[in-house]
Amino acid sequence: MAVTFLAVNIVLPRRTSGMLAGYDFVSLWLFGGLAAAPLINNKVNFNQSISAMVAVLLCHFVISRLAVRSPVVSKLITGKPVMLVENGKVLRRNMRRALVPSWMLMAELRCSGLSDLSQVDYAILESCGRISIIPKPDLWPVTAGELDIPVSPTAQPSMLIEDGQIVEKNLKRLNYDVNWLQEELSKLGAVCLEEIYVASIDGSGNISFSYKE
Amino acid sequence: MSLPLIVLRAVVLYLSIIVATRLLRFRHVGIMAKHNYLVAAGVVGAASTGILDPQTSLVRMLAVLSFFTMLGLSLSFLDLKLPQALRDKPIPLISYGRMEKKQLRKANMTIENLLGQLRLKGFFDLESVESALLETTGRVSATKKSEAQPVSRQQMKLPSKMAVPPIKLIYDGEVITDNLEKLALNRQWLEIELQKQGFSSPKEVFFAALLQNGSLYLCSH
Repeated sequence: MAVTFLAVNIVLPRRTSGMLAGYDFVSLWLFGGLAAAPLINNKVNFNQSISAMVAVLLCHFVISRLAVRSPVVSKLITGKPVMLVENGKVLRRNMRRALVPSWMLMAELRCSGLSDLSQVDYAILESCGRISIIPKPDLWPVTAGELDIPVSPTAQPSMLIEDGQIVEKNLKRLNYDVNWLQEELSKLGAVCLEEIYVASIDGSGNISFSYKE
Repeated sequence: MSLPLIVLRAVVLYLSIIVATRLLRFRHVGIMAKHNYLVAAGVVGAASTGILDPQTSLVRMLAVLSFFTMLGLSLSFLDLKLPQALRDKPIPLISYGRMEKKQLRKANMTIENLLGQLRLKGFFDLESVESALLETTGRVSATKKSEAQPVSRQQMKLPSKMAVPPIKLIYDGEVITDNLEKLALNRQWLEIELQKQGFSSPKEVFFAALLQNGSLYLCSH
């Protein structure tokens, strides 16, 4: 049983647990049901349960491949996101078609921090079943760009130490070595490399780190 | 039960549950109401037995599946037509910055449940919370006091602007002509724009969209 769960855990595509679309939702729930069935029903053995899971997994794989390749399949199997509010106007027909009552829209609106329909510009029911809400631009928080505040360009940070292990790959890619890391960290007050749990370097070369305990 | 039979049952039931989920619409996938959850659990329980138990016939399983789907659909319709019938009101957990002990008890929410939900929303500082509601969808919504809200463009007197969602023009080398027509643009216009950016044909583009400021967002393969 545990082994089955472990195996499913490894082969299950990441998009499934994210439940990006209806068929991910179906697969994830069905996997749970199939994996548990032999425990509940003694007429069922593990081999049967595993072969059913493999069949569902293959179906899921084929469907997601097809959906990526063809917009027609994607529309058929997932459907398109539904516009619920456009330019501040609630689209009643779309709400009814998507079976979304107005209180549900209001609840989602409050969950995204708005209090009133008048603050909403767009609301879209996404294929994962959640409603994305875009407030009126006047209510958007001010950005550094709009206030002409100078900022350094965004750069992806790289991990130098993860779980206490030095990430050699990243060091090499950035043309550094362990001695350099040791030196830089001691400048920041870290005496011993073994004591460090995580360390990362950002785009402008600043190192941040955290001790194991 | 033989292996091919199990595989066949699995494939048939899997595909039928996908159809059922499409019928129940996106709100079912997002589990936006309690009955969405119950129906999902019921369908899965029934389907996994249906796939693996040799004594249940496939036709019977499909009947059970249709029943669950109809049940879910009718409950969603009731939501829509008679909101009072199924819905209970959102429960105020914090109002005017004060926790409502009675309501927390009524909702069976521990203080850790409440604080955890607030933290997940980034409300670390209790002082800035104006109100919190336990919504009927089961999620907690919270509002910050006006003075604790981030500064908005309006408050900074920045010129107002429009929010327009990006409009897809090319995906995987294929021009989406419907959207071009809606914008009263044509293929020639698109090709000229692509040439300006160094692409000789839409085939070379993975994704292109028209942004609200009129510029093209382009991504090659």
